[in-house]
Amino acid sequence: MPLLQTTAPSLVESILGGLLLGLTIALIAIARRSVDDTGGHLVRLLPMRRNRRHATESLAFVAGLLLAMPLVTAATGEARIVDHRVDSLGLALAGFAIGVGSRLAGGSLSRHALLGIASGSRRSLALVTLGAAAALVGSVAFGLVGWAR
Amino acid sequence: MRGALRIGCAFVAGLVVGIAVLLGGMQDPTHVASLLEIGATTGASVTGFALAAISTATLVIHVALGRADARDLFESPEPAAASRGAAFGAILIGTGVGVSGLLPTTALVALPAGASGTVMFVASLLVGLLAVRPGD
Repeated sequence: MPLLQTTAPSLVESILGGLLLGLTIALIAIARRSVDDTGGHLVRLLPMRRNRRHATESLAFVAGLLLAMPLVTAATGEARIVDHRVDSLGLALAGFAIGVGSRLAGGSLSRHALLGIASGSRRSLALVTLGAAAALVGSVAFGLVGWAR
Repeated sequence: MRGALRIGCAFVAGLVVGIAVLLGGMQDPTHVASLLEIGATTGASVTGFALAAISTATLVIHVALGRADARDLFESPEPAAASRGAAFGAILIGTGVGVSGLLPTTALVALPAGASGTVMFVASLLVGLLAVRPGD
């Protein structure tokens, strides 16, 4: 059985993925003594931003993210599933909301969940709890409205 | 030379994070959304991914830095107004994730699959990131 497959991952594969993600993010934080999330990296790459310090490192990080799927697909010979359950308008609104929210909250929920909670931040724990509740409400509302493709 | 090393490390970090996302199937919005669907069989996988990531990061950071230094890594005192803004931001992010099943990292990993919806999500994400400056 291939480790990465086109069907939904098993619990073991998911836990391995989580271990790898947590370890990588922790090592970055320890090495740099600062914490960036993907949204922060993207902001540095936008041409209209004045403060573009470390933009090259951000470009390298984003390039690594973008190349992961092609490299894994080439190595395993299997395409990855990307199955959207909402139409493009819904995705556009969600993307905008997450972009604005990430700036207001000082990072995305994954940043607060991974590094905020790991660092013992009560504020991050509260924000993640609030965000998770909102995600549940958003998902239920999605089902009620029937905003499917 | 040190600059090249930092850039190389950043690239490898992005690649490994991307592989971790793919290993957990988190690039697939329908799989992520299963966490929020009552009775879905794949919700345990998403929960396992999240718990493994958070517990590993917590363990490694505390072992390497100790509790006091770990707290300095992230916590920063903020005025009440900023906290209210952060709470509103968390609600916006959560609602967006609940509807789309995507986060910035997972969207970028999914982007090479070429789905038009992912392109739309990332473009709107960039607009949203530019629309607000921290502290607004």
